[in-house]
Amino acid sequence: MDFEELYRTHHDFVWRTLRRMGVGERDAMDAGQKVFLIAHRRLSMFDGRSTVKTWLCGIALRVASDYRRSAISRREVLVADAPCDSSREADQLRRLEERERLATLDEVLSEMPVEQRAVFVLFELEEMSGEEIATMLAVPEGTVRSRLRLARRAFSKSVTMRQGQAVRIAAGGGS
Amino acid sequence: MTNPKRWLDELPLESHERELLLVGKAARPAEGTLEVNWQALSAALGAAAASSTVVSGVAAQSVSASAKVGSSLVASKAAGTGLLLIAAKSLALGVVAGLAVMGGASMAERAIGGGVRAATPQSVRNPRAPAALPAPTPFAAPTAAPLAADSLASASSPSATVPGSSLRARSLANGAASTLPASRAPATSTLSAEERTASLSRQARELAELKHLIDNGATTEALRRLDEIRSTDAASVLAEERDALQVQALARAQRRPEARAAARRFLLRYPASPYFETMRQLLTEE
Repeated sequence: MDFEELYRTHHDFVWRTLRRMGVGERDAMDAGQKVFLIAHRRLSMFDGRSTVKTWLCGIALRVASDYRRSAISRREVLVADAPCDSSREADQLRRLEERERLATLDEVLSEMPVEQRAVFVLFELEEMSGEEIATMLAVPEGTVRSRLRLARRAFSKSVTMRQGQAVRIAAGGGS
Repeated sequence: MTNPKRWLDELPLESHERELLLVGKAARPAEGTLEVNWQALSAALGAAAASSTVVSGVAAQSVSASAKVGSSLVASKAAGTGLLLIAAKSLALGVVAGLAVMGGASMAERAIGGGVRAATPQSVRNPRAPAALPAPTPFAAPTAAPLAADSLASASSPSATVPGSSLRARSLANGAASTLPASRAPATSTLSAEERTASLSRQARELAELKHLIDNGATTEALRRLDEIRSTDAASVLAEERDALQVQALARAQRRPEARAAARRFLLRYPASPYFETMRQLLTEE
């Protein structure tokens, strides 16, 4: 696999991981590029003990961690995706709904401790195995399982709370 | 550990948790992001990046792979900020090459009139301008190997800074910068090599995104972003390419008086630009 193939194969995965781990929409491209720049520099150190995907994921998690701490992420301004020339209203509506759901997902995820969030995102959204996640995070597999359990509980609680708020607002009860 | 079942396999079909997980799994970057990023990444890495080999998982491969990878590492490092500047400029030239294709008599038809017919660049009468806009050239592979691969390894942490202390890399960076008019010298001279690399890479990618927008007719958005970039990054080393794109966007939007005014400003500001003749012809065309 050459570097371009690696990039094309894993680009979307890296982008998704960065976004779900708190990198803003505007910063995701920069952060993604940083991931691949680092990957390129570190190729000689990749020993094949994990999959390329797992290896990239580890880099992405660290880059996301940096971005969360950086001023860049604090300057984040949510804007629509640039290419938005669709003239079909139904398509626009569908996109809008997707964006709203994604925004909700990110809000819910942002309420979790980052350790739980990472396990949840990688296991539930990226379908990585518990073993892979444990290796990448350098924690016992039992820790992965417990973090996942806690993350699911927090996720459900947050979603239920939001639903309750939405119902009250719809009923005219305000907040 | 026995993997627990995925939540999606257990959640009720109508649950909100499931809905959110599904949209999260299906999320993709905006269309065109992959290509735009690859262009910028190529600019940052140099041509060697494209041919480097990923170790495929067997330790024994590391020796030969290291040789291949090492060369690309050295190459990409040697590219440093200076060659990256050249690379970014090359990329930018490629990005705005469409402007040159709009050159001469056909420009009014294609840009102002909004036509899409293919046209060849006109011959150039201005001796300061090249015969045609250079195509996006492959990024120069450096011949020197100023940095050892192990020094790059120390940059493996995302938060680590690239050891940019190579005199060679610095001289390249300075040399490239010194060829720019004073007004276009990077305002970010105090930035580290890594920061400059990131900045140039970002700017090159922004230009590629803008070109993508213009090509897709999203000229309003392109012009809005150009204004935004100009207000925050006025001293960009790619300002010339950015301003050329503004003319292109205005022309594509059929805002002819503004396109002509922008072209006039461009000529005054960049008298030695490769786009000089194209801009001049835009002004002389009806």
